[in-house]
Amino acid sequence: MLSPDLVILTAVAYVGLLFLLAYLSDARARRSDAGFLRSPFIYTLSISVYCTSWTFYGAVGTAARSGLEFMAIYMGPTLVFVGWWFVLRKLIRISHAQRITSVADLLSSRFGKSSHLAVLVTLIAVITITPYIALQLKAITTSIQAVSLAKSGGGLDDVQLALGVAIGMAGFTILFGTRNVDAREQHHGVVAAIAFEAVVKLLALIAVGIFVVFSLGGGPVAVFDRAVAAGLDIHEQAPFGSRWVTVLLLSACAVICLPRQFQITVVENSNEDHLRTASWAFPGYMLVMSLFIAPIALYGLATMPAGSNPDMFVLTLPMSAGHDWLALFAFIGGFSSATSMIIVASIALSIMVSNHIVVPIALRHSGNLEAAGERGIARLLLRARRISIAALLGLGFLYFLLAGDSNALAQIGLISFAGVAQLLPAMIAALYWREATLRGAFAGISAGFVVWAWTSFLPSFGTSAETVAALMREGPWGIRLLRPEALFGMEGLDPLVHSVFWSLFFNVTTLVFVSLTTSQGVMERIQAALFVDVFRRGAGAQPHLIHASVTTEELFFVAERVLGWTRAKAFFEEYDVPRSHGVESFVASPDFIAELERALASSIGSASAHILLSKVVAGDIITLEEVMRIAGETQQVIEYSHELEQTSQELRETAQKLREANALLHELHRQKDDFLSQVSHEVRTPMTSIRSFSEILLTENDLNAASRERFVSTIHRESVRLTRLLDEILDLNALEHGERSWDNVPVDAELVLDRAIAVCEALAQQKGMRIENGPRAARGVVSTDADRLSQVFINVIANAIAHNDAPAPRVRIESRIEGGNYVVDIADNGSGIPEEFRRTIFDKFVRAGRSAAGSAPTSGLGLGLNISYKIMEKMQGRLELVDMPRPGACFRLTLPLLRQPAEA
Amino acid sequence: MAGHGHGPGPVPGNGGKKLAEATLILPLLGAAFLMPAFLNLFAHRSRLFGLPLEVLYLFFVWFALVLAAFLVSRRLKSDAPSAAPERHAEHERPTGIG
Repeated sequence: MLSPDLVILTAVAYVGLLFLLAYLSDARARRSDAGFLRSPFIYTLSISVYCTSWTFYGAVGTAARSGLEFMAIYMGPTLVFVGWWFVLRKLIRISHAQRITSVADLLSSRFGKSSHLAVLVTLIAVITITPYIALQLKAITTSIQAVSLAKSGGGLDDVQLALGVAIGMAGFTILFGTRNVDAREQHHGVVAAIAFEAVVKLLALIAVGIFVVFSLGGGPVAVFDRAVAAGLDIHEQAPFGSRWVTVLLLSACAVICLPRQFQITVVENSNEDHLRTASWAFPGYMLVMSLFIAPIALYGLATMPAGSNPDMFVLTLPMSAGHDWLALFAFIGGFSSATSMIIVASIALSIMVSNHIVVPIALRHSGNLEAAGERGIARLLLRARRISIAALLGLGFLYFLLAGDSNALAQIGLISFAGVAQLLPAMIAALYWREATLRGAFAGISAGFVVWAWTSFLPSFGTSAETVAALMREGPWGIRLLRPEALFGMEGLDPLVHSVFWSLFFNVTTLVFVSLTTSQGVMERIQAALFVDVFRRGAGAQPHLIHASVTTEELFFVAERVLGWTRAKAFFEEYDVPRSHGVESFVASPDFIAELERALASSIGSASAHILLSKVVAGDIITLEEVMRIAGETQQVIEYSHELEQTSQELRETAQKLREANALLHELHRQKDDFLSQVSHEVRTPMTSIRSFSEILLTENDLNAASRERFVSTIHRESVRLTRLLDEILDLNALEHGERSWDNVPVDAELVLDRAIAVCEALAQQKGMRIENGPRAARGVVSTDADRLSQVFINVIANAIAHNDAPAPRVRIESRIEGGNYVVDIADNGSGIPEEFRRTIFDKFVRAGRSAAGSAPTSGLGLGLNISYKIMEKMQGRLELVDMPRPGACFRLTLPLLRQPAEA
Repeated sequence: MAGHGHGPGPVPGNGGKKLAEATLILPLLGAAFLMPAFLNLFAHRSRLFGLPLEVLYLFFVWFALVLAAFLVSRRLKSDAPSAAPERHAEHERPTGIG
């Protein structure tokens, strides 16, 4: 057995070691040699302040009493950290940009730098965390009693022990936690000590775990077997249910909202990138920490005498095996987890109390800042922080004194989690919901807190106070619907689930409802944008809230009160702002004032910094409404000009379209004119000859029969030509307007082609040329009108014959099946189509070579190819002029083959 | 079919964004696997390798989350404004006001 003196001496020596460690680290950091202290692993280790003595000792107790629930307490934070990219990263980015000093400061800053909200959050934090501190004190005294077995000897007084611990912790925290007022100047000494304690508690728990499981128990399987043999249930008694989910949710909330977690994870974070390591290393730390919890609990239950406190198995198991030194090491591990929680929690709470309660009151009620002297406000802050640390630990001690013997403390862990979880809805709204208003946040947090206090906090006294117990049985004034653990008649639920459900339900609904029904103030709107859009580029710019007619002399006066002369001077020099008496008329820029406000905020919180600056330059502040109006007008102008730009762009596009349409119309009009004049011309020539010959016939009576015969036949020929021309024009018109109907029937195009060649044979013989048949397709069934197709073939072949000017004229016709198409090539060996007509050859009245002096006088009307082209188009085919290696022109006709095999 | 002029690899700059979005799946999937509906699939009083199945399952999920977070955190590109702490970043701001 260890003597109580030895145990206490060890604890004191350990605290001495922490002092030394913190002192050396602080000294190193002061020499700007903090490389090691700024490593991501130190950061990760310090986050493990999450694992307090409640998890160190209590996890085994929880495992013994309620199975695997202890794992939910670790897995909630695991989920938050593996999702760091979404919540934690944004939280840290915002807090760095806005110089946030605490969770109260965060909410206050987001909701328009409201000091009321900051006060509310601070009060909630103090009320929920003080019992938690008391719990740590109780854990330390109980563990000292357990490890030294002093209870039986009656040598040690719990109260004295707790008082000693509280005083020691207060001393440490005041010494290392209030060295400077700038919360953003991190507490390197404290963080180093916390990281060291994290290593100690992990090693202690693992050492005990390995000893119990492998040395005493003979391996994990044997431990479970022994538990089964002892009649214990090693499985979950009840299926996982709402309580598991609730604990998971609460622990996830807690790792974000607990003031000490916020302090370590966000405020003490020196580099956003450290989260990257913490995202896996912190869950890994907790994983290792909980590996041995369940086996230790089961082994303890199986071997320790009935009625032993399972919370102390970590200590009593090594002791019962005679390993007192291991027990002492385990005690130091538990002591580490308790002290690290006390230290960080009291720093975080003292910053909140001093920044959000003491300073605003001091600023409101003291008119003469002059009396404060240099660093006056800073000194006030430090004093406030030191006093509040002492007061908080005093409160914790008082709570311990009053409730220490009851069961109230044992449950306070989760109750405290449920209390700070009331901050989560407002925090999530602060980060992601732009429309959330101050009133909404205030009402939501208040509602949640009141319901929590009624359903969770109050019942925790139920076992110690008879009035509370009666209240819980009967309800207030006998109203059974308001019973704390069966609100609105919701009975049969686990009390924790019941409380968390109702408090978060009222919290969230109130937050949303009030936010939707109230409107944001101007400052709120600005801050909301800065918070929600923090990742958007350019959103970091602070709006200029204070009119630039403040002299720098006045500003320096304020800065000096908070930052001290040296730092204020450095700050002003950094921005090249003169501050001597000679330049009183120098006007500070709004940018500079905004920067100064942020610098002050990092010491005294955003709400206080805003109050302070506003107070000093009171006469010169533009009202925020005015700023917003200006901003609003600018925005309107920007939008309006953007609209104008868009409209004019549309106009330009419309004008362009109109121009194009106009050009097209002009072109069509010109084509029509051309067509008319062409037609007139074409009609006029035969008409002229008909007219003149008929006049001769009328006037000259003495013509001989031969001449008369000749004239009449000329008139006849010309009339035929005229009729053909008119027919073609009509035909063309009908084609263009789709009036001519025809029947597409399956036709063997080869037969049509043969017929067309036969028709043209005579024409060819007239010109003394021959039609060569190249390779021909066997048959090509297409859906078409045979007469029309024949018309096209004849037209193209006739053209090839008529325009062939070669000495030995030839026309060569080939056909083939190609890619589902029936293709006919009709080529001649003439001079070909001149380059300038290749593009227009299928237009109306285009006759290749017409320009060539007087050639081919009557050889066509210039409508044939155009008609053929149109017909082919109508039959889903193509008529095109293709290039040939040989001289001459080659027209290609393509028609899609009919799918189904046609009848023979 | 393939190849409209794109290279075979992922488009640079897009992969990081996609990965960042994909990190949302970790907490969501983790939470889903820790819901009673899943847990009770394994809580039927059976033992694997001599250990309770539900304990093994919980540790397995936990370990998988840690491992996945480790892999993701190594591949995810930083978009922090500056690696230096905020106080030092201040010096990089343009000065010369007035």
